Amino acid sequence: MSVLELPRLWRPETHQALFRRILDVAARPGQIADLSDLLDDRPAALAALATFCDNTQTLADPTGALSDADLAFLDVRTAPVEQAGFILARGADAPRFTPRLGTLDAPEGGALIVVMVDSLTDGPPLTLTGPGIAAQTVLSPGGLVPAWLDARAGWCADFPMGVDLVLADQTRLAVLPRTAKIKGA
Amino acid sequence: MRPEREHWACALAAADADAVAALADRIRRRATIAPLAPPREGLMLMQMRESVTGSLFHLGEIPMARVHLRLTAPEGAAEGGAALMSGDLALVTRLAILDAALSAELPEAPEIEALIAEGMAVQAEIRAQRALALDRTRVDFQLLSEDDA
Repeated sequence: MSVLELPRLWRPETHQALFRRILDVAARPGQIADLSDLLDDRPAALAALATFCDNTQTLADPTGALSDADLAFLDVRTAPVEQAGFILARGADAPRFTPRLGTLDAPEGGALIVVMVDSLTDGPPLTLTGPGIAAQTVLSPGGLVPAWLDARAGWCADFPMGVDLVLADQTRLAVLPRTAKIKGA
Repeated sequence: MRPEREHWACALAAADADAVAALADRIRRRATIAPLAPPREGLMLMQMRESVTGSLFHLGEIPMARVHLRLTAPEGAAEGGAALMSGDLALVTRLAILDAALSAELPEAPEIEALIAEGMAVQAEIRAQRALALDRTRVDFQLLSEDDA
């Protein structure tokens, strides 16, 4: 009887396993990581934030999707959406903000946006090409309004500046790094 | 008289460690404890302000642990927390449990208050010893001009 037992999603070993899987699909845009065995019924978007965030990072939750308890466990500072390093958004709502895009000197300052979608396989197909993709691959996110793809195209127009997207349904996620070229929808 | 809550954890950390552990573990066995934030332990940069120009500088790294939890017992519930310059997360967890238990006025409150009083006495003794040691380093300067006067 010494330290407290944490819920599974907040244990360091869970974060390590999540990080490995997210890293794998970030290197292979369009591939889908199934996180269901690590989530204990919590959403994959929250798991992604739990993996990425700590008290040195900033997070914006413009739709208020996170509970106070989740924010306490994320142990992350909140910031306006235009200044945050990480953003949680809904795919069903068109983005009405301009995230951090980084600078030519420090493109890593561009935001990472976790977009909650209904599904990663039941929507209109998007054809992806670019680094990490042998020829081309298809991702079919459901519940992602086309305005997101238009906005992303604008944000990523001046590579290496731009944003990286993580699309997450309830149990799975896929990564669209700024290097990925998207056609379709 | 019960001291301000901000002094509880520090005083309990100075009390008998075995007694603190035994009491906290006894409370924990009959209560439900849920973390409200991930318990943290690690190194923290200690920032100080120097006294000449008033600028900030980093004195160095210090071990730090902190726990924030909610305790629920049949007699009541309360949030508890503790943050201590220590790498002992188990100790800080126990301090947070006692903090919550005293805040919730559980039947063990008198025992916790006794430990706090014991810890404050130990702290007072340490402060007195340090003051004595500091006093031995005091130097009186006499100016030649004063002798002349």
